[in-house]
Amino acid sequence: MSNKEIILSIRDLYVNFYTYAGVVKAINGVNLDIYKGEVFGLVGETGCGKSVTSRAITRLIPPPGRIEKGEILYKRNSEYVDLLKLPEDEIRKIRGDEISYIFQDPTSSLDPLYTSGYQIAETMVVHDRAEWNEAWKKAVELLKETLIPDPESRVKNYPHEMSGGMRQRIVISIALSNDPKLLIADEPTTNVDVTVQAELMDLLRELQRKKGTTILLITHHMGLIAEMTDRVGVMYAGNLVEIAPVDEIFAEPLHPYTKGLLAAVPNPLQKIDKLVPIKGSVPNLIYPPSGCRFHPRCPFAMPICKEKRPPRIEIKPGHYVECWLYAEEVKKKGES
Amino acid sequence: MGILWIKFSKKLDFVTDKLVDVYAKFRDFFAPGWIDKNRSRIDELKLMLRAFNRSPLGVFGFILIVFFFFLGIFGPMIAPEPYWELFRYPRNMPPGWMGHVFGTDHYGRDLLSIMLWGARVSLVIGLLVVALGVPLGIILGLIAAYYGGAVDEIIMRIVDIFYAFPALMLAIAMAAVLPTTISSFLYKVPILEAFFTTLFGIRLYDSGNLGPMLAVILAMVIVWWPGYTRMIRAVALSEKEKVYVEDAKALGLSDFQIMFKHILPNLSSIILVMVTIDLGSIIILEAALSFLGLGAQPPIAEIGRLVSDGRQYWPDKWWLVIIPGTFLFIVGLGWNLLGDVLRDVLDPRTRRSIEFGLKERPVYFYDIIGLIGDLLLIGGFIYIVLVPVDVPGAFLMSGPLIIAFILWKGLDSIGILRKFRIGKILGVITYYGTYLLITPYLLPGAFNGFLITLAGLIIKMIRDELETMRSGAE
Repeated sequence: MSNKEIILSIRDLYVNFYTYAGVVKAINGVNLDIYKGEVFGLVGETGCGKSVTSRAITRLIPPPGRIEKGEILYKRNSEYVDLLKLPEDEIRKIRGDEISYIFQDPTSSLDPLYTSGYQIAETMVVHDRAEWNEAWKKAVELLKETLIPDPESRVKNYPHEMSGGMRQRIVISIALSNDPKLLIADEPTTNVDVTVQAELMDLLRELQRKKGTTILLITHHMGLIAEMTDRVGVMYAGNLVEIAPVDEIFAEPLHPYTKGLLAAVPNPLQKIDKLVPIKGSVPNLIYPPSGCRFHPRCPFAMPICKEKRPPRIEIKPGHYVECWLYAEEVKKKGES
Repeated sequence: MGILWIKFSKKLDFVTDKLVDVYAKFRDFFAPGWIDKNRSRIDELKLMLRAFNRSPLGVFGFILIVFFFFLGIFGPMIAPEPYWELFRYPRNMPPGWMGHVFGTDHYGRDLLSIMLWGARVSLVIGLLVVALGVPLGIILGLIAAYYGGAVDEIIMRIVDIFYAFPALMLAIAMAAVLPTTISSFLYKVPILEAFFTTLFGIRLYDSGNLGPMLAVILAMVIVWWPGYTRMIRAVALSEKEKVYVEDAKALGLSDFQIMFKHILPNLSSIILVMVTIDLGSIIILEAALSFLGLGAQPPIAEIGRLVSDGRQYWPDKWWLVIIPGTFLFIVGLGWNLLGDVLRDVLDPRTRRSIEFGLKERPVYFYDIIGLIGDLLLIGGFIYIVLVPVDVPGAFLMSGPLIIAFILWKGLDSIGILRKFRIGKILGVITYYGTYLLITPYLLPGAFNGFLITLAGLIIKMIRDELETMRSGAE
């Protein structure tokens, strides 16, 4: 993996939300590298900070959220720039052009007052990629690529004249209109039905292969992760607890949370009497647990888990885990 | 009534569809391919107008407003006599005197002509206040909502300061202080002077009156914009949270583009409705100010001034108050009805819930009941407005309705008036407060009219009940 080129590197990212109830420590020291051309999956429960991480990349965190510290290095013209330090104008040029988003709700992510063609063309015009006439023609081509039937008439349609799956295709077309280097898909298929879901995922993978786009896929759907991604990051309560190639995550999950997460998902190949939920509930991030944030729910918790945050350990090449269980193992290995 | 309206509104549909087609062909003529590109928009426009046609009140309001615009634009041209020839006839003659339809006014002029001249002044003042005040209010409201934080605080506290002053007082103060400054400025810029005299339809000789008139306009703008800022901020705050705004941001659009190309157009229907309803209130507030002696001075024709001049002859020469008062009432009513229906029609969700499949069907019992209710409603209205001779006080529908309601519910009920379904009609009327003060003793006769109207309303309610019972049975 290390021979590949890193396109985006998140280093030691902290994001807090200053609410009336207190300071929510939503992201707590996330480290993540994304390689060029891969599909990276980010999984975790609702509220674990997946979406916040993805929005932090182009500083889209709405107030009262604030990025406390960290670096987000992005490779731009063969040079790494820190997105968190760029001036507002520069980051705006990157948004929608080099890094673009697909949000989860296709019904509301289109402006109801403009035709789909207008909204696709607008993105190109805003980034000086094309003039209006040319952009309009390109919009038709894009719709053709996203397999929308009869694209010439569809560009003239308003969002309310289209179905949910169709709208999400439009959203994907908008996101792809400027050939982004990094596409961040934040639960792109949560609000569309299953058949459309499969079609959309096929479409995304097809486009990714054709254009070599890097995709950061955020979801809580383990099936999608298995299907789509090359590498997976598992998030829990603002921490990235495990990163591994997709096969390894399913074959030998290491972190107790990952194990719990996989046990809680039905496996269609096996007959299971009962799904095993993870005991306890998601911690309140205003007062996060000390040490490892997972320790109150962890079946293997040890005294040290309460006191110190576990370090990141590379068990195998490309397989990282943040857990004291393996810290001991590594130590033993080193000793013997 | 209901069935009659269905038949009539289908004819209207035909007319409006044709109108849209003509408009589309017109656009297509200048930009070939326009029809093809905007087919969805054309259909939506047709649907909107059809939804509008379903509402008799809306069509009625629209007709009133078209009539008002017609008078406002062509009034000075078709006015049979000039406004500046004072004391040509005996003063305060009754309607019909020597062929003068409305009689003569306080200065011995033909009242009909004066009303026509005055319509232009009312229209221009109303439109100017909206044209100046609304954009100011919208821009500040959008900025406050979009940026939030300190910017929001500063703008909204300024709004609060303007709210803290009583609006009428502020307007009076401005209208008293500003005229000299404006007059001396206009004196130096003759082009502006000529422009405004033409706009108001007055002689260049009377340009000294421009100062007070523009002062009243500015005063009303200053009183008016905070309302828009507050309203726009409130709706923009919820609009800003929608995903497409976040999406636009993630696509790299600038703040300016997001605010004015995406948020503002989505608020346009709310703004249009508010402007429509406000135009009526503005014209009436302007009349109230000139009633108090601010603004244009005689011989400029001014509707509010006519009422104030006529008040000293009340109630012996009732027409001096009734005729201009009814004109103001009709304008206010028209804008309100129109605004109310536009609210339903412009919102795509409510527009789609308006029923279009109006089928021919047998006459049900409740149709007859409904017809009786409608007749009583209109009868009561006519009784109040048009039969004032034996009812010395009923110079406006407003007066009796309001007084009756206040007597019934107590003095703090004026706020309640706005909440009723017919409250829109009553809502306008509360602005007639000034006139109400001078006629507190008009009640007894007008009360009959009110009772008739009320009976009509109750019968209409019974009709609705019967209809739901019937559709429930089916």
